[in-house]
Amino acid sequence: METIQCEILADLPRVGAANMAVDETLLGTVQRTKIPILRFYSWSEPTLSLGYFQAFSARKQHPPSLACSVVRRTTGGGAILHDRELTYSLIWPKEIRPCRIADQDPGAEWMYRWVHQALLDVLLKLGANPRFSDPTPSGPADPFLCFERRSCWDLEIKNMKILGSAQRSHRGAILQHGSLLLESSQFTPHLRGLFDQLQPCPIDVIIAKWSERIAETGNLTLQPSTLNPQQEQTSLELAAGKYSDGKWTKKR
Amino acid sequence: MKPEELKYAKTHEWVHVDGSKEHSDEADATATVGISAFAVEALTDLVFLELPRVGQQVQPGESLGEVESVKAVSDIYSPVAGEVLEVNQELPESLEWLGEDPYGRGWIARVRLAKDASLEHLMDHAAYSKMCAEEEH
Repeated sequence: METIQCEILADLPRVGAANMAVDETLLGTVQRTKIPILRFYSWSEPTLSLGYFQAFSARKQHPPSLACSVVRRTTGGGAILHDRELTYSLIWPKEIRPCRIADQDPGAEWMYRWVHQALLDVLLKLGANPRFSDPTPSGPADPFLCFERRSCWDLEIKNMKILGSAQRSHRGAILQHGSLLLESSQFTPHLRGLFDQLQPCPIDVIIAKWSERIAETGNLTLQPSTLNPQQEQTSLELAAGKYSDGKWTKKR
Repeated sequence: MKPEELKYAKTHEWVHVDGSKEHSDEADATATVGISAFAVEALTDLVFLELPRVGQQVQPGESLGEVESVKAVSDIYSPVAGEVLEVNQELPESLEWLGEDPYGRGWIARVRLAKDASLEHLMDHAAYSKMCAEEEH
């Protein structure tokens, strides 16, 4: 069985606009190269990211984060307070499908199942007891925060959601963002993360085990990578011209 | 509208050239555009729809709106070149129409076809159905 080459980036912490700009840049790269990219990253300051369709004014629903930086994602779903968490993005060309991945899911939901199942497998081995969530109805009246919502692909431990993901489909490729809540944040003290319920371990260990399991179940060969100078430049331009711009952040 | 009488883009939008103006070189030819039942089924649980702007100029493959389903945002691509004349303003608040009647009440926009607009890249229903069957396997 032929393996699929996939680049993996363990990126430096960046501000919100830069993080979103890097993901859009990588989406453009995958559209051209057809080589998938898996990126793990964090945020250099506590940042609220709004789902693509969320109104900027809706952040008033969460007063504790009003002083935090804010950025709008291109992916759907609810707002996330990126503080004590790990973010990933998986950018995948639509024309490639890991042959070991079951295809009964509609659209690109197989990506949710695949990546989340991989983490579930890892956490089971680490002694946690995660499960897929029971979904709640979705719609405009959803809670503001992603981690207060439930979809059938979310992972939870003891009824606390620890992993949620969202997607952007664009011109032959899919960008899937996901957030793994590690610990409770001062801005979201009512939420509990993975290490609130499992003996903490270095985040590098989580990244290594999770990416290995994604590769194993998807028959991928992971190639460590970094942004090249052109990608860095494109990201800088997108961060300044789009994601830092109020026109984008307040477009709704 | 009957799905058998429509044209389809590879990206699952349907087109109905309004009236008898099948030839896009006629000055005031207009087309109605929507997304196919196959696409609606694949998108499953739609929660948001953003319509194009009236007056917006579009080319084939350019965005004619966006939808969100299961936390996934997707573009709706224009299958034709022209100017957006009218949008289905009730649709964002009545997304169930896309599932119940994708070729009728679920229409998205009416487009005045550009003089040089071509429909040759679009598929008829038989070819589109074949493509969908291949996508499912």
